[in-house]
Amino acid sequence: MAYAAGYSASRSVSTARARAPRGLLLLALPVCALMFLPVAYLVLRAAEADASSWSLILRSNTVALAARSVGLAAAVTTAAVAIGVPLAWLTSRSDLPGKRVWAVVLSLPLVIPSYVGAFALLATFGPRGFLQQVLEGPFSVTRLPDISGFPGAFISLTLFTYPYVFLLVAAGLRGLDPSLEEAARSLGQSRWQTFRAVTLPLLRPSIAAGALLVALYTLHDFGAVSLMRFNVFTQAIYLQYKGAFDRTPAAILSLMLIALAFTVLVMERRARGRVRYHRSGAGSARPLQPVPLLRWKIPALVACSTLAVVAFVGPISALLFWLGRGVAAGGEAVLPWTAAIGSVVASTGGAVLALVAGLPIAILSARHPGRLAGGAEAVSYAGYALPGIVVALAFVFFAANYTPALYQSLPLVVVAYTVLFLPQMTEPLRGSLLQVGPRVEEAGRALGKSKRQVFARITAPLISRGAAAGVALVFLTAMKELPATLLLRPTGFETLATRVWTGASVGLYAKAAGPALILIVICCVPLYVLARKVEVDRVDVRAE
Amino acid sequence: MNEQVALRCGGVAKRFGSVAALDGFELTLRKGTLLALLGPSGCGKTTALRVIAGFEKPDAGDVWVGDRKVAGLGCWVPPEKRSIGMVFQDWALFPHLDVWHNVAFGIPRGSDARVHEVLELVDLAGLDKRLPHELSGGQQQRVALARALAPTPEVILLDEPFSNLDATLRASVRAEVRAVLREAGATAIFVTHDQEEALSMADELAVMVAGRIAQVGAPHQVYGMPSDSKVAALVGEANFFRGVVREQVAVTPLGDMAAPGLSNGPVEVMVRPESVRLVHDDDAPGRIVDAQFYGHDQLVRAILPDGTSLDARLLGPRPELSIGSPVTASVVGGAHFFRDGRPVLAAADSRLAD
Repeated sequence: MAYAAGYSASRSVSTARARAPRGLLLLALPVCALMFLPVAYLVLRAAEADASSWSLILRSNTVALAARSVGLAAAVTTAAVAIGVPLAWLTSRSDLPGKRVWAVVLSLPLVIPSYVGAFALLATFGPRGFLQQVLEGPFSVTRLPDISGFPGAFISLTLFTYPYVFLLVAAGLRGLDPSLEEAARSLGQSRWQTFRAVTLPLLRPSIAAGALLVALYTLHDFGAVSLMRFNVFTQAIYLQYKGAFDRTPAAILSLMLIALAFTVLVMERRARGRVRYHRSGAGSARPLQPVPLLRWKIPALVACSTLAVVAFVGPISALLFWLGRGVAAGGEAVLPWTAAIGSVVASTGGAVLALVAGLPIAILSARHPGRLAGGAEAVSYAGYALPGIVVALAFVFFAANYTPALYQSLPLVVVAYTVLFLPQMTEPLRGSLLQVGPRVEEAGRALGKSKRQVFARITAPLISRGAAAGVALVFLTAMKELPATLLLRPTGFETLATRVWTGASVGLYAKAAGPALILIVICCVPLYVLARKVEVDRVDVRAE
Repeated sequence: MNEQVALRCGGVAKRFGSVAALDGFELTLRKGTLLALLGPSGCGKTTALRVIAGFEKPDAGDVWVGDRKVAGLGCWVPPEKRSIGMVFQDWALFPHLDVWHNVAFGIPRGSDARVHEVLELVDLAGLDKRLPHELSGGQQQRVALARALAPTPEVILLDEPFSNLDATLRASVRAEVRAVLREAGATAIFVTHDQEEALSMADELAVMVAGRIAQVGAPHQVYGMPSDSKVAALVGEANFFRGVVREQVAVTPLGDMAAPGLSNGPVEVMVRPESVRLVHDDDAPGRIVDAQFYGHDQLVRAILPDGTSLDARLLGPRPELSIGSPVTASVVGGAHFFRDGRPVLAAADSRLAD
C-alpha cells in the first residue's frame, strides 16, 4: 500500500479534474439537503423571534451559559489529552508489562455512555449512594462532599472520553515511520528531544483529531450534565423546550450552540496544519525497540491500574451493586429486554442508512475532488457540529408542522441518527477509498468491466473493512445516544438509553442499573469489530 | 482504413485548466509493433496513454482502435469497450484476488485454459494461488502483464512499467517483457523517460516534447538523424556547442569541421560523446574535470579553454586521462548542425579533407 500514497500526490493532476458523474451527484444531493435541514429550519424559527423571546434569551443569562459550556469543554479536553497522550505512548512505545492488555482495558470506557458514567458516579459517591451506605453503618457518615455540578460533570466526561484521544494517538504512533525517530537520534538528539522535536509534531493531527472529538462530545453532552445538574447550553435548550410553549428561544439557543461547536471544528482544522489527513499504518514493518521505563515502571503500572479501576471497574461494580439491589427488591423487569431490542433496531437502522447516505459522499470526495465534492464533504463533516438535542429539536418542529405522519415515529429517529453520525461513516469510507486508489478500478475498466461491475467486484470488497468500521462506529454511537432518542421516539418506544435516563434522573438507581449493564455489554460488540480493524491493518502492513 | 493499423490518434488535444497536456498529438501504430513513447517528465506521455485507454476525454481530435473510432466528435467508447489492455506504473494488481483470479478477471468465466496459457507465457504457472503481496516486484510485473494480455486486446499500453523495479532487476525484466510481448504477437505502447530503455526495447521510438510527437522512427534512425536539437538532446547523450560557418567550414571550439553546403553564419553543432577524441598533450590548455569508469568504456568530461564542457566516451582503460590531465579535443565521427533548432546538416564524418 506504500505506493497508493505516492500516487495520490503525483497523479492528482490528471484525476483531480475527473468530472463527477451525474448519478453520484443525484445520490449525494438529498443527503446534503438532509444535513442542511436542521440548521435551515432553526434559522427560520429564530428569524420569527419577537422582542419578548429576545428579552427572554437575554434575561436567561446566555453569557454565563456559554462560559460554562466553553469552560467545561476546555477542562475536559485538556484532561483527556493529558491522560490519553501519555497512555498511548506507554502502551505502544514503552516496555510496560502487558501493554496489549492495558491497551484493550483502558479503551473499554468508550462503551460507557457519559450519562451512565455520571449515574454510576452519583450512585457511588452521591447522596444515598453506595459509598455513603457502606460508611453510614460503621462510621456513621451521613454526608459526603457533593460531587454534582462542575466536578461531577468534569470527572464523568473526562473518564469516558479520554479513550478518543488515546486510541487516535496510539494509531498515530503506530503509523509513524520509525526511521524518522532513528534519524533524529542519529543527528545527536536525546530521546526526550526527539520526542519533543519529531514525534510530538508528527502526532499533532492525531492529538487535534482526538481533542476535537472530546470537545464536541462535551459541548453536545446532555445526559451527564443534566444528571450532575450543571447548567450548560444543552440542558438549557431541553428545559426551554420542555417548559415553554414558545419554542423560538430554544431555536435561538440551539443556533448559539451550533456556532460554538462550529468554531471548535474550524479551530481543529487550523490546528491540523497543512497535514491534510493522517494515514495510519504506513509505518515500516520493523517494530521499534521499546523504550525501557526503568524506575518509572511501577508508577506507570499504578497509574494504569488506577485509571482502569476508576473509569471501568468502578462504574461496572456500582452498576452490579445496584442491579443486585434491584433483583433483591423484586418489582418490575430489572433487565428490560424489549428496550434492548428497541435500541438495537433503531441503531442498526441508523448505521445502515448512514452507510447508504455516506457512500456517495465518500466516493465523491475520494474520487472526484472538486468544488462540488468538497462542498458535499464539508456538509457531511459539519455534522460533527450538530448536537443531538439540536437536531432532535429541529426534527420535532419540522415533523410536527410539515410531516405529521413522521412525528414521533421510528423512521424519524433513524434519520436523526444518520444526520448526527454521518461523518463517522464517511471518514473511514473515504480513508479506505483513498487507500485502494483509483488505479485498480481503472485496471478493472481496462479489462472490460463496467463501472458497476468494477464497484461490485473490486471496490466493494476492498473497502468492506472501512465500511464495517463505519457501521460499527455509528451503531456504537447510536446505541449510546440519548437526547435525540428522548425527544423523537414514538410514545411507548423504549431504548436502553431512555430507560437508564428515566431511572437515573429521578434517583431510582436500581431501576437504571440493569439497562445500563445491557447497554455496555451490547456496545462491546462493535468495539470489538473496531479493535479488530486496527489489528488487521497492522497485520497487513507487516505482510507487505 | 489500412488493415495494418492498430491504433491512430489524430490531432488530440487535452487541457487541464491552463495547462495543455496534449496539443496536436498525432500517432499511428502498425500491428505487432512495440512503440516507446519517450519524453521528459510533464510532456504529456501519461495523459496520451490515458486518453487512448479512455480514462480521459480528449478536448479535440480523435482516437481509432483498428477501424473503430473510440473517441472524437460526438463519439465516446468507455474504457471497458475499447479492447485496450493497460499495465499500470504500480501494476494495480487487485490486492484481494490471487494471481489466478487477477489474470482471469478480464476474460469470460470458464476460460481456464486461457489463464493457464498466459501464466505459462509469463512463467508464473506455479504461483497461481499467491496473493499479490506475496510476490516479488518482478513477479508482480509479470502478473500485471499476463492480466493485460489475457483478453487479447488490440493494443497494450504500459505506463512506465519498469520504474518500480530496482536497477539490478530492471534489465532482466525488460528483456522478459519484450520477449513475452513478441511471443504474444502484441501491439504495444510503453511510456518511459529512460532513453536507454526506449532505445533498447522498442521497434519504433516516438519522442514527445510539450504535448506532441516531435519525431517517430526506428531507434537507430532517431538517434542518427534527430529531427531537431531537442530530440537530439533527449535521445542519447549529446554535446552542444556554437560554431560559425565560413566558406563551408564550421569554426568550433573543437576545431574546424567540414560543413558542405551550409551558408555562412552561426550554427549549433551537436556531437555524440563517442565521436569525440581526447589526447593527452602536456601543452594543451584543455583539462579533464571528471572521469567515470564503466569497465569496457569510460565517460570523460573535459573543459576547453573557452569554457565549453565536452563529454567523450572512450573505449578501454586510458590511465593517462585522469582528472586534471591536460588534453586536446577533436571530432572523429559525425556531427549534426542545427539552425533555429532545425537540422541543416548531418555529416557522417566531419573531418576536413587535408
